[in-house]
Formats: sequence, structure tokens, C-alpha cells
Amino acid sequence: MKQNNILLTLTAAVLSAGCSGFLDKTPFLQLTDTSIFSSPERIEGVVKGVYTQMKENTFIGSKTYACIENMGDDMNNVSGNGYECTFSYNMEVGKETRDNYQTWTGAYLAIQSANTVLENLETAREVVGDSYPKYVQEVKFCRALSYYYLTQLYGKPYMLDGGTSLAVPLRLKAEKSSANNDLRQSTVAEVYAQVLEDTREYAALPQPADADYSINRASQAAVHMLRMRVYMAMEQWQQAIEEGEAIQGYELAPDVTAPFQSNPSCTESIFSFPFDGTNNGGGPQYAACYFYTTGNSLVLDRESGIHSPLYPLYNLPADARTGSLIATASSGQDVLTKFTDKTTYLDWVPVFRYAETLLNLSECYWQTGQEDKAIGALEQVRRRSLAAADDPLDLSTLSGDSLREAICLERRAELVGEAIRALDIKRRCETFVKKKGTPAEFSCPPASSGYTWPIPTIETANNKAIEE
Amino acid sequence: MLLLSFCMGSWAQTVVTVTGMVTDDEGLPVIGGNVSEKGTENGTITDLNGRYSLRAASDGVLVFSYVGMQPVSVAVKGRTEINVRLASASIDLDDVVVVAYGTQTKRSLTTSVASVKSDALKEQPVNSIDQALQGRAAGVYLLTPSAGVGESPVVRVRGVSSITSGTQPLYVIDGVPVETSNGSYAGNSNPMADLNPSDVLSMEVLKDAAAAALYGSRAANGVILITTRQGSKGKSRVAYNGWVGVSMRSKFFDIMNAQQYTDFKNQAVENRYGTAHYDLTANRVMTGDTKAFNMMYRSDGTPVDTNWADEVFQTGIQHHHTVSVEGGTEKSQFYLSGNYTHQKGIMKGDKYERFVMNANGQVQATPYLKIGGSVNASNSQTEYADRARQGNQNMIEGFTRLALVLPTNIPAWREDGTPYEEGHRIGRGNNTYYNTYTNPAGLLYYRSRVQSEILRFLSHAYVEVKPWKGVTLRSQYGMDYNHIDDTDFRNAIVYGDYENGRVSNHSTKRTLQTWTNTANWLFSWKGHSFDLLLGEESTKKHLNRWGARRTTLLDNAYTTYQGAWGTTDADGNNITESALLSYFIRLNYDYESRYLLSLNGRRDGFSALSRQNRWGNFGGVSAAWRISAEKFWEKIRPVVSELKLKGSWGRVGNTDVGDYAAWSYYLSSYYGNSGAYVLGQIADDQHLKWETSEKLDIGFSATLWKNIEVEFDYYRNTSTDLILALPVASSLGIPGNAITTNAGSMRNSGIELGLAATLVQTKDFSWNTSLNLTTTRNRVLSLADGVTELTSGMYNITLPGYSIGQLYLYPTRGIDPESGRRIFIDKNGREALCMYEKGADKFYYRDGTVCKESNLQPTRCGGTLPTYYGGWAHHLKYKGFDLTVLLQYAGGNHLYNGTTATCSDMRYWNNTTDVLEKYWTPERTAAKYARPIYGDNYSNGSAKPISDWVEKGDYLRLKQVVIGYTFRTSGWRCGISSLRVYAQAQNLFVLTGYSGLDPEASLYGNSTTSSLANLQAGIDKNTMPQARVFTFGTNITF
Repeated sequence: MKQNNILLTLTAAVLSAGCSGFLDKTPFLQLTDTSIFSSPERIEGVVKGVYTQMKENTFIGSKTYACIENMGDDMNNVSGNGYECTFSYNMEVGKETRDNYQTWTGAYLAIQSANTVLENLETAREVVGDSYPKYVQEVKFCRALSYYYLTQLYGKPYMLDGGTSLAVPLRLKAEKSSANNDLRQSTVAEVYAQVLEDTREYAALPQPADADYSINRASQAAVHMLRMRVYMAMEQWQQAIEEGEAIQGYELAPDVTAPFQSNPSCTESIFSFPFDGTNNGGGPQYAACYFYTTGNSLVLDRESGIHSPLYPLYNLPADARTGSLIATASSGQDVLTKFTDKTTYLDWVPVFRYAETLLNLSECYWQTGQEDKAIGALEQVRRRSLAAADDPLDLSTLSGDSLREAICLERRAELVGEAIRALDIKRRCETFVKKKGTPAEFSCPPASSGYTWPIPTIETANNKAIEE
Repeated sequence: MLLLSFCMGSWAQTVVTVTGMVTDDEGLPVIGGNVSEKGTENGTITDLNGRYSLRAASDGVLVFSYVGMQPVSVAVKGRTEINVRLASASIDLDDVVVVAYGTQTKRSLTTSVASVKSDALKEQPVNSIDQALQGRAAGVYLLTPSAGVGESPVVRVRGVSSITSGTQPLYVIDGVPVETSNGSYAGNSNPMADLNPSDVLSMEVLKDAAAAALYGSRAANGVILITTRQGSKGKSRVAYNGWVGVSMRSKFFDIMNAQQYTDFKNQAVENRYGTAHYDLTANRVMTGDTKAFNMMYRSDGTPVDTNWADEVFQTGIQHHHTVSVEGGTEKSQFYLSGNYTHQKGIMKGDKYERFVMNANGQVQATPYLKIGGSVNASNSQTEYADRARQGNQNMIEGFTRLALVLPTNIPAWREDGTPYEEGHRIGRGNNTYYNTYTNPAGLLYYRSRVQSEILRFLSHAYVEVKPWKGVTLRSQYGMDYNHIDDTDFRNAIVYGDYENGRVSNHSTKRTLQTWTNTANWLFSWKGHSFDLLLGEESTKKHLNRWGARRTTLLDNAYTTYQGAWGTTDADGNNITESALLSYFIRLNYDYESRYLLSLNGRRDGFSALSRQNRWGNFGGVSAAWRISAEKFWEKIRPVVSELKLKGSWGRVGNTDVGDYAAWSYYLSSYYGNSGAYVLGQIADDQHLKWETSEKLDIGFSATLWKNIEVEFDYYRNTSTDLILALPVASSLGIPGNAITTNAGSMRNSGIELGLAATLVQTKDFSWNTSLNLTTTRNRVLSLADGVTELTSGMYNITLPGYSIGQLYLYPTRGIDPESGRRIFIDKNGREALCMYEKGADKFYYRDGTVCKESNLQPTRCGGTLPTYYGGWAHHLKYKGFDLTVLLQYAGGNHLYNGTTATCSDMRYWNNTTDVLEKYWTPERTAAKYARPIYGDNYSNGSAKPISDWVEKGDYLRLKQVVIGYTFRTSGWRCGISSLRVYAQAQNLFVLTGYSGLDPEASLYGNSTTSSLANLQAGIDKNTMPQARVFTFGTNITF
């Protein structure tokens, strides 16, 4: 009968709809731990992902870099825009300031990524084979670098109290739940000890001559640079010198603009974050480059900074840095041309380069009384940009405080814009003086609350072990 | 019961004699059946042959009823013969349905359902039917975030039942659940606008668990059933209804003019630096006459004085036209309609255009086989240039904010007619500071915009078989197909040199397929009626999106993706899917229409949840006692003619979570130019399970003196195992700083009261009124273990013991009369004065010591959910004239008036004249605003939101006034059987103590993350004004 046929069809239809597997929907684009760590290619990808997290997510390859430069006194923030680091510039980063919580979130995403990869590498040892030690050392370098920058922002200067004050919580395990929310900060000394521990082994990392060498990834020289900065912060000058002298195979590029040309084969570059068309469209502030190029954000401080009339010896017309690395933007403001991509902001972001190695060494030699060596290193950097004939400053006559001052000012002139000046001020436990000599001058001494960033509310709200 | 055949408009008031026959299911005459004219005393009973004769108004409605049968209303529409078949008091599947899976009669309703008829809806000048619900139904709260095109209203049924999952009700159109989330990648559009409001016959809101439980896991937020017009048996009919209207902003602030701005800002500079002759960029004192801010002059010497509000606001124009055709025979019926809607919003650049074709039909192929279906095809374009929506009200392209803060001493236009800009931004003018805001005139001029084109097919087909008496089998397949094309364009000239211009196109395809199979068995035995429903339903959701972005516009003449661009990159690609499988059962029992009982249950499996916990059981029970049907009630019946006591309890769930909520995964990314994998999500993949709500409802409905209808409900809704995006310590490095997990519980309780009465009823004049009131008490009962609070955004906190989304602001105590400084209160209750100019340490106790910023902590500053709301409607009729007045109200909530902070920021932003009148001076010590110090963004609440700006949100709005006239068409020969014209005004006034633009304001609508509208509620910051709308319309039927 017709009715029954229809009925049968319907019944069959109902039953077929309920077949098993209907509810098993595996993501098309998302990959699980298991599928990542079972393939050597994907493990290579997830290791690179740790760098990605450091570079993006508003951390050291992007906004944090600009925040650090904003804290320094050589550049001026004219944006009037909280999104463009005015809080950092004004030394008033609070618990809810975007600069603060974005940096914090980005840094710990990188750290968690490193911890997750480290844990999974243990189970995937067979899959990765010979690459195992290299991956481990690489990822530990990333973790160490992240903790280094966190300590610079959230910790008090080591020399203030021997590193006994609290810095940031030291997370060293992969986290999968809220179970470990509460963790007290470790002291500055403890974090530095961890950074040194993470970078203790580096033999598996490549050197410039190696086939797998890349200035975008960890190398032995990058490890030495990081360790050198830490020893300098701890005023362990001799150890710092050893790290610096271990850096071999690098040289200053004859062209002062060369380290800023996103060039993977520049022999002066030690570690830079790469940017490429793949980063297009991340938003105007996803790359540090943005802040430098618009002429409406971070510009040279021509009233008080190293490129102001206050420092005539560092603004000589013959100085290649004055001629090649400064330009006037359409806004009428003078900007640094270490970053130039005004369209897509894809300039690579330099973290370590050999000029810094030399200037670090120069400072350490001075600290250890080796003035000749100090002058030698300083000379290499200064003479690259300025011939002795054009230079009213005779380096060979310098000694004592005058040499120290020359080293410090040369650092500012050479490394301006590279997120180093503010770290130097803090390392030396000096007072930040901004817009010096103008009616708008303001300062931030080490005792002031703006000197170190407070742990952001997004942390303290859920981590009750934080001591404020 | 719904009208069987709906009357489009009204007929002329003539009296005709109507005769006809009333039969039962089997075609046998109904003897002694009641026939009455609705709304009158006029009536008769059928004779031994089931026949009747009654003189009634030709535009009247006859109501046919008989004990044990379902009453039927039929519009006379001038006919003289009307034959009616009455169904037994259980089911007639041919009828328009009103409850879940379509099988319940109103009489047997034991649950809480609010019904809104098209009469109340059709003349509202709205693009989507959900917008018409405000003030109409008890228990339904609706908030329109702003007058921006495409903004969805926030709809809440009986409070907020989830913390971070969705809280939007499930919408079911003609039995098919539809997609209601914003599918647009770049823009926002309201998916409910794809349905022509003129095609809607009624909306039923299922509020309690028993009513909604058949939708099981999707019913926690209530269910809104939308019934569209269907063809009816009888004469074919063609109808037109349309309206045109104008809209304007209801209110705006008074902003300082150029001279006031210049002088006031110079005053602030002088207060900070000791002189107004100060270069704010070079930071030095200037010699000569130049001050920090200076007037600008055109070449003819006249001063520049820009009214920025004129550059962003306009008078909106909108019109709507619908033509419909319907008709049918005993065996087949059809309905067809076409709609064109066009709207130009009150914000320049806001546009909306829509075409909808809707067709449905049904055929009774054989006595036991019925087939039917519908297609609703729509094509719409939503476009806007003002991107300040969905929480982006702070962006530098936000028009409302620009109208408030742009310097009036800089022009919008150059003298050559092009938009003013300096280095792509507003720039300096004659001031000494470079203003980084954008010129909105330039954004519009160069066609910066977000545009969404939506193609939507809402369709379903069904087959219904009645193999044996009382048994109905039905199989229905519904397909909601949605194709959205977005364009997001920015020219480089005014937006800034960011990427030298940028455009992105995204194409999103969404399908939602629902296959429903039900079996229904009706039987009765000695006055006991049973109605058993068994069903199975499978739902599949799929999203596929691809997109690309281009930058570096090579030729500024291009405004589209297809123009000449330098680079092209992939962007926003995604594929997701989810599946839901369900089995359900319902049994309704009815004894002599006196004792009613309904039991239902549903088992749902959802792919997004963890494998171990993906199945959930839901269900409800409800009962009612029609006490007025009892014998002992007879004495009371003259006063209380009808009284039904009812109660229900049930458990429902919530599925509004991400498709892969229970997965921990990595996403592909890049490092430089090589591929990389980064952490994407860390989830509670072993345990994630259903969020459930237990809903309790007790109430009664009564009719007093045959004239006053009373509905009363007490409800309590307890949600547990809430799927919570649980915030974790940020240093755990978990993406999004949250893990999706089951934790916490929340309760909503309150009462609903509905009153409806006919105040006057004479031959020429009638006056009906209805009032509804709902109270809601929302309490978060618990969050996760060890989690005591949930902060969200800059302004809100959610914590146990209080309603969701409390304001959480820095406590302040006005302006210190002596110093003119804002008084902040530190965590120990000590007063600290804000001295912005002091630099890093800017808060000082009264003894002069520094108040560390960490000593300033936000505190709870009041709830943001309204605790009461409702509406009061009046319908008056005098001869051909009618008047409708709808008042709508809400209150008991607090708002953070953040726009006041914007309007008193002492950076280069412009301020309101209110600031000019109320800022502190040594002479005016009772001040609202602090002593102006240039650059100060703390005293006003920009940097830290302050409690001084909290206000109460109570309001009463004259939502709608309609005056109409219905012509007598009986003598007309042009074929017009009905003609009505009307004028309508919306939002004529708001009575409120709120000092902002409108107390109905929200940063978030429903479109993006629905939960943000709850967690970050009560924030009015740079919110676009509401619109006041006037329309003129007509309804014509041929």
C-alpha cells in the first residue's frame, strides 16, 4: 500500500540520519599536539612558531620594542595617542595600560610556547633525531630572551639591591589548565640565573659559517649577546667581556645603513626579527617599524636627545649616521631612517648587532680598567661613520670619566631607536630625564612608581601569589 | 488562536447577513455551536443542520466555537457565506502553528508563551522583525545599541542566562531554526533583517522551560517562533503596503565653537606651563603673539568655525514597499510577496538596501498526504563609513567621537573643495600640536567604508502523511543558506599613510541544514485526550570563508578591491563545522480542558563538546488547572470568567559555544616568509559539557468581568555548569588568557505581569489598552573554584552575589572646591587629588605625600542590567480613524557616561560647552569639571574611568505613535477592497534623568560576541545617538 511505502521511506530516513560519526567533527585547519609532534617538518614549524610569538603579539618584535624606545630620552612621542605608547613615553605605565598588558601577554605566550615545545620534544626525540639538541637550545634561547626583556621592564635595576627585589613569575612548564594560576614573582637575580642557565649550552647552535645559520634564529653569537647583556646588568664585567670576545665571524658593515636593510647576509647583524609580506595587514602597530616611520609617532627629540644641539659632537654633518639615518618626514618631524617601510612596515627589527657588541665591550673594558681596549672598540664604531679627519673629538686623549662619557654617548648615537637606551638607563640605575632643558622637562628617578612597570591587572586578578 | 485568514487592513463598516454551516473533523454538522462577532455582544447558535445566520459588520470577525473543539476566528471580509470546519480540541495540523514542533492548541497551553501579532508589528519602520518586539511582550527585553544600519538589537528573554556563552534566543521561522549570528567578517549586519517584516504573521516567545524544552540544548535563552503569512482558502488577494519616512538624531551635545575652543585650550596650556605662548610640539615658550592654539582664517578673512556634527550626521530617508499575492483552494494554497527596502541612515555613509522574494505553498495531494514548502530569498547591502560599533567606539575613525573631539578651528574642507588633511590626518591648522584624528568628511569623500552584501535563502520543504486516524508523520528539511560578501576599503589620503590604502574582500558561505522527523499520535478516551509526539532532528552547520587583502592603492580613483593595488595577501580564511543530533518526545494530556499536563524530553548530542560529555538530557513538565471550568466556579464566573493556574519546570541547555570549543590546537602562521605553527587554543578537552538551565514558572491567567485579561508569572531560571571562558593568570601564556570550561552558576528571577482591557467599546469608538511589566533579578551565584571575579574590558566586573557586568570604576568624589582637582579615593578610603602636571606621580594625599597609583583601585559601582522593563500600549478607534500609542520603559540599571569623559578630556580634543560652563575656577568652586590643565586625561576619566560619571538608566520612551485612517471602500469600483493610510512617529521623547544622549546605549550589539553585551554592559562611550523617525504609509488590498 502506498501509505506504507512512504512510511517505510521515512523510517529509513530517520534511522540513517542517526548513524555514528555524525558528531565527530575534526577541525580542518587546526592541529593537535599529536599531529604536530609526529612530523619533523611540523616540529620545525612549531619551533619557528616560538619566534613568531616573540616577534608578534605586541612583544619584542613589535610594540614592546617601541615601548622601550619610548621610555628612552633620545626620541619624542608626538602621537598624543595611548595606542602609540604615550604612557611608556610619559613613564606612567599603570596596571591597566595597554603597553603593559600587551607586553605581558605577548611575552608569556612566547614563554608558554617555548615550554610546550620543550615538553613535547622529549616525547618526540625519535622524530626529530639529530636536531634535538639544536631545537632545545634554540627554544631555551627564546625563553631566556623573553625573560630578559620582562625583567628589564618589570624588575628594578640589579645594581640597586643586588637583584633581590621581585621581578616576574618564572614559568618553566607547559600549562594546560588554571591549576597553577598562583605563582609568586622570582627575584631579578633568580630570573637572571635562569636566563644564564637556559643559555649555558649552545654548542648545537649554528655559527655564521654553518649551512643552517640564520640571523633570524638563535646562533651562538646571539646567545653570547644575551649573556653579555645579563652580565653587564649584574656588573660582572669580566664575564661580560668573555661573552663578547667569544663572538667571532662578525664585522661592522662599511655602510652604516646596511644592518637596517632586512638583509639576511649582513655580517654585522647577529639577531633580527624578520618581517615579510606574510605579515601584511596585522594592523598598524603590529611591527615596531610603524612607530618610527609615520613622523607622527616616535620622532627624534631635536631639543634634548642625542640628536639635539646639546650634543654637538654627535651631530656632525660628516657623520654618516647624521646623513644617512635621519630624514624629515612629511609631518615636518625628523625621524630615524633605520626603519623605512612606510607602507607595510615590513622592516626587520634588529635585536643584536655587532656594533652593540663592540660598544658593550668598550664599556666593560673601561669598567675593568682596560682603557686602551675600550678606546679601540669605541674607535671601530665611531670611525665607521666619521673619519678621524672630520672628528673634533680625539678618542686617544680620552680617559677616566671623559672616556666613560664618550662610550655612553656613542652608544646613544649609534644605537638610537633600537630599544636599548632605556635599558641602559635602568641598568645603570640612572634617572630618566625627558625633554631636558625645556619647560616640559620631567624626570623619573628609580624610586618613582613609573620607573618599573607594575604587574598588570590581568595577572594579579587571577594570580593571587603576586606580591605588589 | 491565530486568525485563520488574516485580514489585510480593514473593510468598511457595513452590516451584512452571513450564513453558513459549521462542521466537525468528519464533516458532520456541529449542533448548538457558538457563532459570535468578535468584540461585540452579537451572536447566535447553529441549528440541527449545523447552519447559522448572523448579521455582522462586513469587516468584522466571526468566532466559531463548540465545547471540546478548537475555536476558529474568520474575518468576514464582506462575504455573506462562511463555512467552517472545527477541529476537535486537540490538533488540526492544517492550522497555523504556535508552539514547538507545531502541535499544540492554545487551550492546552500550560506554559509561558508571549504572542505578538502582526497588527502590532507591521507599521513599525524597522528593517528586521526582532526590532519590533520592544515593549510588546512581557519577559522580553530589547536594547537597540544605536541607530547605525545593520546593528542588531540585544534581545534577552527573562534576563541573562549565561556569562560568556551566547545569550541570544533561538529563532525558529516556520519550524526551521535559523542562523542569527552576524556572518559578516568585516562589517555587521543583522541576519534577522533577511526576513521581510511584512511577511510575518506573528511571533511567539517561548519563555519557560516547558515551552522551550523541545528545543532542548538551544532553549536556554528562550525561543522565538516566527510564523510567516501563508495562503488561505478563498478569493485571491493582492495587497500593497509601504511607507516612506525621515529620521534624524534625537539629541546631540553642544560643542565649543572655534573661538571657545581656542581660548579654552589656551587657558589650559597657561594653567600648565604658565603661559599660553607655548609650542606644544617643540615644548618651548614662544615669543610674539602666537599661542598654543590659534584661530584659522579663510582667504576672505572669515574665521574657520567647523560644525563637525554637520559633517557626520544627516537626515535619514527610508522607504519600504511590499506587494503580496495570496490565494488558494481547498486543496492548495499559496502566498507570494516581494519587498524593496531602502534606508539612508542618520550617519552619513550609512545605507541599507534590500530585496526579498518570499513564496510558500502547500498541497493536500491526497486525503492522507500533504506537501508544502517555502523559499525566502533575499539580497541586501549594508554599508557604513562610521566604523564605531561593536566596541570600536574609540577608534579614530568613529564618527560620533570625531564630531565631539575634532577642533572646530580647523576646517573640514579646503577652499578648493577637497577634504582638509595634513599628512593624512587633521593636523595642526594654526595650532602648535599635530592632531592625529581623521577627517570624517575625507573618509566619506574618498569612500572609506565597510560594505556587506548578503544573499540568503531560507527555505524548507515538508511532507506530511496521515496513515491512520490520529497519526501524523512529518518529515521536514530546512536549509538556511547564507552568502556574505564583505568589502572593507580605506583610501590613504585621509586615513593616514598606513599601508597606503587598504581593501579587503571576504566571501563567507554559511549553511545550516535541519532535518526534522516527527510522529504525532492523537487519541482520546472518555474525556481524556492524549497527544504524543516523537521526533528526531539532525542539524549540520558549515562555514567556509576565504578572503584577501590588498594594500598600496596605485590610483586614488579606485574604491574597490578590483582596482589597482600594489600587494595582495590571503586573509581571514576559515572552515568550521558542527553537528547536533537530537531525539525528543512530548506527551500532552488533557481532561475535559480542565486538567492539563504536558511532559517532554529531549536528548541532544553536540559535536563541539568533549567526546565523553557531548550528550545531554533535557526536558520539562508543566501542568495547568482551568479552575474556572469547575462547577463550583459558577458563582464567581460573572467576575472571574476565566482562570487558569499553571506551573512548569524544566531543564534546557545552551549550545552557543565555538565549533571547536573542546579542542586544544595549533594554528598555522608564519615566521618571516616561512611557515610556522603557533598555539591557537587550550581547552578543557576532557570535560567540556553542556551548560544547563533549570527553569521554574508559576502563574495564572484570568479574565475579569469578561473584559480585563490578566497574565501573571513568577519565574526562576538557574543556570549551572556555565560554559565559561575562564580567565587565567596571564603568565600561564594560554591564548586569549582564558580556558573554556564548565564553571559557575547564575540565577534570574522575577515576575511578569500583563494586563489588557477594553476601556471603551461603543459603535463608533473603542479604546483598548495593554500594559506589561517584567522584573528581573539577576545574580551570579558562583564562578569557578578559586575565581572570585571576572573583569571584562575597562569598566566592568562580574562577581558572585551581584548581577552580571557590574560597573567597576575608580572611586572619585567630585571636584575639590579649594584646589579644583578631581578627588580620587584610594583603597583605604583616603582622598587623593589628581595633579596631572606633576608627571609620573600624579596623585597626592591631602598632606602632600604621594599616593601610589597601585593604591587606587576600582570598585563596584552598580549593576548594569535593568531590573524592570515593559511597555504600555493604547489602541483607539473612532469611526475610520485609529490611534496607537506605545510607551516603553526600563530602569533600575546604572550607566557609565563615558562620553562625558571624552567631552572633558584636556588634551587637544574639543570639549562641550557644558565644560565651559562648569569647569573649576577660583570663582566657581562648585564645579563639575577639574581645573583645566593641558594634557590632563586623568581628572576627566579617560585614563582611569571614574565613578563620578555613573548615572541611573531609568527611562520612559514614547516609542511609537500611529494615526491612521481606514477608508470606506464598499462603494468603490476600482477593485480596492481595503485602503488605509497612516502617519507614524517613533521615539518622540524620552523622559530620563540620564544626561547623555540616550539611556539606551551599548558598546556591543548582538552581532559579534553576544556575551560582551552582558559582560561589558552599561557603557555609553562615544555611542551614536538614537534616531527619531517619522513615516507615512499605506496598506491597500485588492
